Amino acid sequence: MIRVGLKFCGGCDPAYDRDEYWSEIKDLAEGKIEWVRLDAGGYGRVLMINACETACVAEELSFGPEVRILISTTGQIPAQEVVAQLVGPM
Amino acid sequence: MYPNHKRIETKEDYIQSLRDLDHTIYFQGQKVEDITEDPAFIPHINCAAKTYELALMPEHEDLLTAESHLTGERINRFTHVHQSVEDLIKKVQMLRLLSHETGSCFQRCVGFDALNATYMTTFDLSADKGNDAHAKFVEYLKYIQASNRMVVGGMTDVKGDRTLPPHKQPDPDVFVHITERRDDGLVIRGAKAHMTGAANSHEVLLMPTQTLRPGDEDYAVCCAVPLDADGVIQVFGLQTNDERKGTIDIGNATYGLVGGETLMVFEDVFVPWERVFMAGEIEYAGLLVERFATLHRQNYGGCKGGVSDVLIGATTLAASHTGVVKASHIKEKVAEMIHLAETIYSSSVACSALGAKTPSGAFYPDPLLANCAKHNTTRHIYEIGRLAHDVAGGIIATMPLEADLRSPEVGKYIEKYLGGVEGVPTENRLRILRLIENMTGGTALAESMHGAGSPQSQKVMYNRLGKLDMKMKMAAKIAGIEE
Repeated sequence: MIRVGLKFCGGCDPAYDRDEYWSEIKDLAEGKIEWVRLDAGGYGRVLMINACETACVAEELSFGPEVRILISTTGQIPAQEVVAQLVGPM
Repeated sequence: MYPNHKRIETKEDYIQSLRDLDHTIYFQGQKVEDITEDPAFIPHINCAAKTYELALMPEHEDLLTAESHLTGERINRFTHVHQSVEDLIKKVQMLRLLSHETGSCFQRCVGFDALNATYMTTFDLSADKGNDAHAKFVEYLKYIQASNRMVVGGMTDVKGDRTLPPHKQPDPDVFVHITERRDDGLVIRGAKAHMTGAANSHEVLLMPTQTLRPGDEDYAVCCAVPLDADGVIQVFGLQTNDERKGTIDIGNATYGLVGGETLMVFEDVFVPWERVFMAGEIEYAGLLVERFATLHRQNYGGCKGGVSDVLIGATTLAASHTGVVKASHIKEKVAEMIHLAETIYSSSVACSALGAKTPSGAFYPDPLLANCAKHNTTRHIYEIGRLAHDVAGGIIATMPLEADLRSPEVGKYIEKYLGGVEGVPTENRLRILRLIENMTGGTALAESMHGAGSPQSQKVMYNRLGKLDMKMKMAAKIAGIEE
């Protein structure tokens, strides 16, 4: 299992169904990824899910070079690819 | 590659640079030899010059200047590519400030928005096609930043039959298009309309006017043309009350009322390849148009909000000149004007605050909110003008002219019968009333309606960007409808 930090934006004005998107990712990642909140630490990868192109969290958060960050702004990265990138080699 | 022009720093530099420009401009059927000496052009030149003057003032440099992300040099903000949300907000604040100083249109935002839209779109285009369009544009931008020359954004084609795409028009020239591709560059022909500030600009940055489809390849052209290039001919349009004489009747004698527009004709104009940033890539035309439109619609709560502040001040002064400023219905109307002005300003700030970074690194306002900013302006400026008329009274439509005030025969009657409360010179009252009249009629209103796109173009964007799918889902969920 790979430990992955997960962060959502506030979802004030969603351009797509984030619940549906997240549910798809979670199902595909079953048994491969352990999802944790960002304040839990101990992860080398982060998934940020934004609800629109403003991508508030992408601008607000920063990590060191040891953390790989994957940002999906409008659900444009298919769930399968999200999982593949997160479990793939650094 | 680009000429080594002396950098324009001061108003005097700017005026001299216009004298040195060998451009071709017609007004009232005559070729204008020197626009800097022609009364029809001087107010617009004064107004654009403010963008240079304020940049030199320590109290305004925070808004009027920025650090170039390309060179690290301090540059005029009108040549800057937005690097942050803060830059987007400062743009709006700068526009409001300039409106406070001029009460008019200072014209340079069109080129500013064209530079930003072209920067971010050529980045995407080059990444996709693997070409040097963006690299060429960066060199052009460096030239503009260094020389501080004024660029007009050239988007609106004259369009001919609106039911036909460009390549099916009976006259192919009603959209600017490529007529010849040579080893050293392109030749273009056509015309752009409503070119704000073009008579006193140095360059035009041409963009397509709409989404293009297969068959329209020759119309997918984005390029920069010096306005003194062979074959560029401009015809200047008359503005509301431009022909009035003196300093009172024209309302805003120093800065005019709107930007001063031309019809810009391209009669087989040669453009070298280094100045060509798109030539046939139809799939990027719509994106460039949308980005320019969003960046330009972002502005209107800033500039028109600032112009409204001047009008609110004028309206309050008009009421004070006749002693009615404390009447409850006057206070209510002025409060409504303030509400409307701040409403348009707030949507411009909002679309900036929710701006986002594009792949190029340049920041871009929230497009839905930017369209709201412009659409609010198409409505609220008319209502603000209506309230100004209401408070100022019918005198704005019936008052005699400045020549009557100065007349040895009837001047004494104007002084006596058009005066207001004691202590206010009649001339001051007339000046404020004329300012109100000129700011609320004719060209000034039409500019708020159609500048940056007519209201229907914003409605089209609402339908595209309004996230109706999500809104229906929200409603269905709350109503207990199971999918």
